[in-house]
Amino acid sequence: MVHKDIYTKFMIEYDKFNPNKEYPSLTEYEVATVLDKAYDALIAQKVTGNNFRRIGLEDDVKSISDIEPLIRHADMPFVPYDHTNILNVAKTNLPSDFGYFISLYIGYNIDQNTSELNPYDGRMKRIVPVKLITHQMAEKFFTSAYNIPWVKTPICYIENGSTYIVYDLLNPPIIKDGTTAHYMYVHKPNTFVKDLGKYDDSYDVSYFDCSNSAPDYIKNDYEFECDSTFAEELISLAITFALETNESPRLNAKLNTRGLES
Amino acid sequence: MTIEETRHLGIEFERRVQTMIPEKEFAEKLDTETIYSYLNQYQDKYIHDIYRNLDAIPSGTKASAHVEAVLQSMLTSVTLDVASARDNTESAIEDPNGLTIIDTARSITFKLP
Repeated sequence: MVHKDIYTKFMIEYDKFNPNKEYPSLTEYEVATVLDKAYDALIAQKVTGNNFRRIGLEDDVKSISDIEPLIRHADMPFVPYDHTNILNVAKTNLPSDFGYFISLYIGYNIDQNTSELNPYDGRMKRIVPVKLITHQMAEKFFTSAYNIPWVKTPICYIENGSTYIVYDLLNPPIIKDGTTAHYMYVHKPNTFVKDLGKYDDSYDVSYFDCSNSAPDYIKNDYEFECDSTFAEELISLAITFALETNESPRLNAKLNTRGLES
Repeated sequence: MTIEETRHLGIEFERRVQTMIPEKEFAEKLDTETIYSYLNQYQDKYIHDIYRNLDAIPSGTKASAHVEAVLQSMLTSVTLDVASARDNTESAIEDPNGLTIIDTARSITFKLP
């Protein structure tokens, strides 16, 4: 499914709900804006569980099917951590299209002083899951004047586009140059409102469609990444938002007072 | 006990606390100082308890052998030079470990490290 299909379905339903308005009562840009708003809201509801079914991400097969097309993996390198007075913290940047955290893994060597393979299973590197917790909880894991904590499961907190991983000072993970942290996350999907100016002028592009001759990197921006069920839910929610905007009593009240201006 | 063994002792203590009280794993994690404070407290209690009960345990039994084995590692002897204390009429003498013995022999105090 592509963005053009979403637009068509949206306009079919919207016009039926809204027969008294002049056609078209919404421009393409306005429709794209409303769809983006509904898209973000729907993803947030499905990930957090703040929805009608009270089911969060991966709590049942429906929520898995809804969100799985948006799940991505990324290996992000460790970057220097400025506050070196906290000894057991490593830093990585978040992926550029990061939306919602699912999981994070970092690597450990069996024996960091050797590159020999583990004799039991032939592997040199182990991965360990990192648990996302709050800043306040993370303070209990910092090495300090009275604390050299045992950190069985490394923990992390997120701020300003970066993840800070707190690990066991006496059993540190591999955080040398060239090593990475492995993210699994819900990524930010293609938006309906696009910066059309970034595309080559030789291709005919709009917010919902592009010419068949456009290259794949442009066409990819017009893909709707989730399945048709998700699309129908998105259109229903977007219509609710659009009707609220157009049919709100507040708008009527504003129109009724227009005579006072003349 | 080596430093490594002492660390593992603390880890084992914390692991069991976390099993009993899951909140202690993240939200209410104990700091290192608190963990070893508990261990020190129980160590003192354990030694005092078995020492006090030593007379009540029949000699030659497995229980007495166990208690004696534990206490054996705690026993130490030191020779103190009391001559200078006597000559200078000091009220207390101090052994190399910081143990202060008052001349009445009724009070023993530990100095903080």
